[in-house]
Amino acid sequence: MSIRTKLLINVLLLVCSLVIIGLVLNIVRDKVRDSVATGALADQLVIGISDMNTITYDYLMKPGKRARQQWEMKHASLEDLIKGARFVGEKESVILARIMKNHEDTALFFKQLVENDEKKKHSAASMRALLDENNERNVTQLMARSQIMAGDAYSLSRESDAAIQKTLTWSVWFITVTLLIIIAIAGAISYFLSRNITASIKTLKNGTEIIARGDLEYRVPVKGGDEIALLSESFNEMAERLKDTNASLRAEIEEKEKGREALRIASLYTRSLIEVSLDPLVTISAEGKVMDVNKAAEDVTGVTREKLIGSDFSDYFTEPDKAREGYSMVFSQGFVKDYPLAIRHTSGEITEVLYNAATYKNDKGEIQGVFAAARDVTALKAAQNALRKSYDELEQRVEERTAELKESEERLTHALEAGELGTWGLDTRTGKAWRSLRHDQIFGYETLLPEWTYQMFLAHVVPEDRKEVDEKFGHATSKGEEWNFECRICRTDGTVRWIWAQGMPRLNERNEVVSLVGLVRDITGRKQAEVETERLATFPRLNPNPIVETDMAGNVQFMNPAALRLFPDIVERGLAHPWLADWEALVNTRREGGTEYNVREVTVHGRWYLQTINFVREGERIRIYGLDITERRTAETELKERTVQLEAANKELEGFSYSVSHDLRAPLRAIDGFSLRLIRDFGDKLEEDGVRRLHAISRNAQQMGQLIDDLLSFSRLSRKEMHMSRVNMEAVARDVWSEVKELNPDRKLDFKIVNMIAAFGDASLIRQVVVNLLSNAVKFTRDRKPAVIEIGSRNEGSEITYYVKDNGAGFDMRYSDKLFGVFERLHRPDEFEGTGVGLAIVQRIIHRHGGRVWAEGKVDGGATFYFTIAGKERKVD
Amino acid sequence: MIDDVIEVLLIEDNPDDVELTLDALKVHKLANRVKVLRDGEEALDYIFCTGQYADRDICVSPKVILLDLKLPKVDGIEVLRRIRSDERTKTLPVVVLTSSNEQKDRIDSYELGVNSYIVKPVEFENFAKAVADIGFYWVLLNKVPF
Repeated sequence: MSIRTKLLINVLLLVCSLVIIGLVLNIVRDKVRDSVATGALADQLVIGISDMNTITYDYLMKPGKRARQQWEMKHASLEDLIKGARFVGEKESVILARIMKNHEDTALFFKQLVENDEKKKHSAASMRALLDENNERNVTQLMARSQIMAGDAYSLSRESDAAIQKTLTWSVWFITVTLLIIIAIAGAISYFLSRNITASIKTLKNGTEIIARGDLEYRVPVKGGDEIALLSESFNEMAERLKDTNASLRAEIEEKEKGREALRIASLYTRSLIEVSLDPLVTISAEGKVMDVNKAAEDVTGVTREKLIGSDFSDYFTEPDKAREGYSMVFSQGFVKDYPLAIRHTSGEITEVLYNAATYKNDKGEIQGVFAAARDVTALKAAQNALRKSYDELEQRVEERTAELKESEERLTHALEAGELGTWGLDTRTGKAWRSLRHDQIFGYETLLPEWTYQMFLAHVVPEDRKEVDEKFGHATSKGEEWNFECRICRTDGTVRWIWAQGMPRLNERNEVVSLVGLVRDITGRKQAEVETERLATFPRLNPNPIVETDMAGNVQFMNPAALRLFPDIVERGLAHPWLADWEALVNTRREGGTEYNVREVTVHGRWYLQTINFVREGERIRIYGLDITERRTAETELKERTVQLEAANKELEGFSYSVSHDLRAPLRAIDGFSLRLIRDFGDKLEEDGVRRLHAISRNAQQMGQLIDDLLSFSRLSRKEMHMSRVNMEAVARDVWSEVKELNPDRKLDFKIVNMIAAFGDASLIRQVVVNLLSNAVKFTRDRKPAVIEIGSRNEGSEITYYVKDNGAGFDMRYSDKLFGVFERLHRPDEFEGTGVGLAIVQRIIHRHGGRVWAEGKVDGGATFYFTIAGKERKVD
Repeated sequence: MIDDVIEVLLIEDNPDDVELTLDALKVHKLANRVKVLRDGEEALDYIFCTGQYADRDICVSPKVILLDLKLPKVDGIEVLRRIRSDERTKTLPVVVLTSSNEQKDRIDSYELGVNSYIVKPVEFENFAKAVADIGFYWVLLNKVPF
C-alpha cells in the first residue's frame, strides 16, 4: 500500500466522523422540539385547572346562576383542552387519562351540588341540614378531585421538562464520545503511518551504511510493498551485482596464485628429484665450470656445493684428461653413454662410476652446457662378488649334505643291525631277491648265499604255516597289499625259529607290483616271552585269593577270577565298594613317601580280608592282594573273650588268696599265742601232759601258718611277671650256696659247681629254683657225713640241662611222679620237715620258662634233679 | 592309765590280736600308754580330733601308730593316705602291722610313706618279739622331729 493511499484513508475517516456528528445533532433538535411542545400543553393544563379551582371557589362563595354558568363554560373549555392534548410517553398518557376521569367526576359532583342547593331552597330546615351535609361531602370530593388534577397537570409539566433535560444531556454525551473516538482513530492512523514510513527509511539507511562499509553479503530487509521497499530492493540488487563482480575478480586472482604455486612445487619437485638421486648429478658450463650439483655429488667428492660450483669439473676425477675427453665428446656428438671414470673423494676414497651426459640448450638452440649423471657401480661389483661367493658356499653345502646322507645311511644300517633286522628286496617278475647278510643269517646261513628266491624262502617255512604265508604273499603281489606276517621257519641247522617279516609292494606305471622291499626279524625270544607271560598270568588266575588292580583313581584295571567271583559288584560300585574303603588314606600312604606296601583289614559281605597293598608301575597302579581271615578273626575274638574271662577269674583268685593270707593267719596266730601264754602264765598249774598238748596245738598252728605261706607263694608264682635276661648261673649257684651254708653252720657240706652255662630267663625265679633245689639237697643229706652236693650243666642244642646231685636219702623211683606235686611228700614230717611245696614251685618256674624238670633217685642212694632252660632268647610262657 | 600319755595308737579290729599285742608291749611297760582304735573311721576321728574325739588336743601326738591294713569302714591304706596328706600329721611315724604279705600292699604302703612294714608272724613267740621290738624302738629309742 503506498503512502498516498494511507493518507487518503485517513482523510476519509475524518469526514465520516463529521457526518455522523451532524446526523446526531439533527435527531437531538427534533427531540427537544417535541419536549418543548409537551411542556407548553402541560403548562396550559395547569393554568386551566387552576382557573377551574378559582371558579369553583367563586361559586361556593356566591352560588348563583352566573357563577354556575361560568363554571360550566370553564369546565367545557378545559375538557376540550384535555381531549386535544397528545403525549408521546406512556406515563404521560396514563396521567392524562386520570385527569380526564377526575375532570368528568368534578362535573358530576358540581351538578349534585347545584341540585342540592336548588332543593335547599324548597325544603324544610331538617332537610336543609341533610342537604348541607350532603353538599359538604360533594364540595370535599370536588376539591379533592381538583387538587389531584392540579397535581397531575403539574406532574405532566415537570415530566416534559425532565424529558428536555434528558435529551440535552444525552446529546452532549454522544457528541463527546464520538469526538473522542474520532480523535483516537485519527491519532492511531497518524502514528501508524509515521512509524511505518520512518522505520522503513531507517532500515534502508542502516543497510546502505553496512554495504558501504564493504559487506557485500548484507541485504537490506524488505517489508511491505511501498516506495521504500522498492528502493530497498533496488539497492539490494545493486549490492548483488557488486558482489558478483567482486567474486569473479577474486577468482581470477586465486587462479593466478595457484598457477604460480604449481610452478613453484614443480620446480621444487624437479629439484628434489635431482637431490634424492643416489647418482651424483652435475651441470657443467660450456667453459667446463661446474654450475650445479646435487647432494650425491657432494657426498661422492667430499666437497660442499658452494665450493664445487664454479670450480673445474675435471679436478675431481682420478683421470682429469679422460674426463675432459669425455666432456668434449659430449659437445661433439651431443651425449656420452656409460663412460667409465673414477671420482676421488677428499678422503682419498675412489668411487668407480659410469657417466651418462648430454648437452642442454636454450630456446634458441644454443648449447648452454652439459648435464652429466654418474652411476656408482661399486654396489654392482660388490653384488657380483657376493653372487660368486654364495655359489661357492652352495657347492660346499652340497658336499656337506652328501656326507650327511652317507652318515644317515650308515646310521640306518646300524639301526637295522641293532634291531637285528634283515632287509630284502624281491623282483616279483624274476622271483630273485637281494638281501642283507642279517637276512640270510636269520635263516641259519653264516654268509650271504649266492642266490635267494621266494621258493627258497617258502621251503624254510614250516609246513603248518606255509599255506597262510603263501596266501598273504599272493595278496601282496596281486592286490598291492602290505605283506606282513609271523611264522615259524626251519633253519638250515634244523632248529625251528619264529620270524616276523614285512614287505612293501612297489608298483610300476600300470599299477602292477614289480617288486617287494621289506624287513625280516627273528622273534623267537619275544614268542617265548609271550608263552612265559601266559604262564605267569596263570598265577593270579589260579590264585584262590582275590587280587584287584586299580589306577590311582580307584578304577579297576584287573581282577583275577577269585576277585570276580567274590566282588562281582566292584566295578559298578567303584570307591563305594568296601574292598576299596578309605581310598584317600590308602593312596596317601604312597604320596607321603610311605612304605612300598601297606597292610590293612576290610570286611566285604560279612567276611574279613587282610589286604596287602602294593604300589606298582612306578606308583601308577595299586594292587590289592586279599586273604580271607574271617576264621582267624573269629578265633581271635573268641580268644579275646576267653582272655577277659580268664582275667576276671584271675582277679577273683587274687582276692581269694589275699583273704587267705590275711584272714587265715590271724586265727592261727591267736591259737598259737593263747596256747603259749597259757603255758607261760599257767604252766605250773597244768600237768605235764597238758603242757605237752598245748605245745602240740601251738606246733600245729605254726605248721598250718607255714603251709599257708608256702601255698601263697606258690600261687603267686603264676601271677608274677617275668623279666627275661641273660642269667649268669655260676654266680647264682655260688651266691645261693653261701646263703644255704650260713643257715646250716653246723653241717659238714661238700659242694661242687661244675660248668654252669649261662641261661636266659627271669633271674629272680631261676634263683628260687636253685635255692629250693640246694635247700632240698642239704635237707636230705642230713644223715650223710660228709654230704656231697654237686650242681652243673651241659649244653644240648637249643637248651641247657642243669642238674643238682646229692648223696642223700634218695627216693623210690616208683613215686617219682609225685615228687613235684603240691603238698606231696615222700617222707614223714618227723624224718624230714617241710610242706611239700618246694619242688612244686621248681616245676612251676621251669614250666613257665618252657623247660622240663625231672628227677632220678634211689632210696638211700641219693637223688639227682634235672631241669632244662633255653640258652638263648626265645618266646616262652 | 588315764593319766598316762598316749604314746602308741594301735589300730586293730581283731580283739585277739589286740590282746596279744598289748601282752607283748608289756615287756617294755608300754601297754598302759596304748590307745586302741577298732576301725579306720574311729582312727581318723581320733587322729584328726573329730566326732567322738572332737575334744582331744591335736597337738598331743602319739609317738607311733601301729596300723592294720584290713579294717572295717575305712581301710588301713586310706588311713595312711589321710595321715600323710595332712600337714599336721604327715610326719607321724606309722608302722603297718598286718597279716598281709601281698606285694601290692607293701608297694602301696611305701609309696604313701610308711615308716615300716611288718608282717605279723603266725608264731606267737616271733610275733611277741616283733611287737616288743617295735614298741621299744619307736617309743623308747626313736626321736620324733618335734
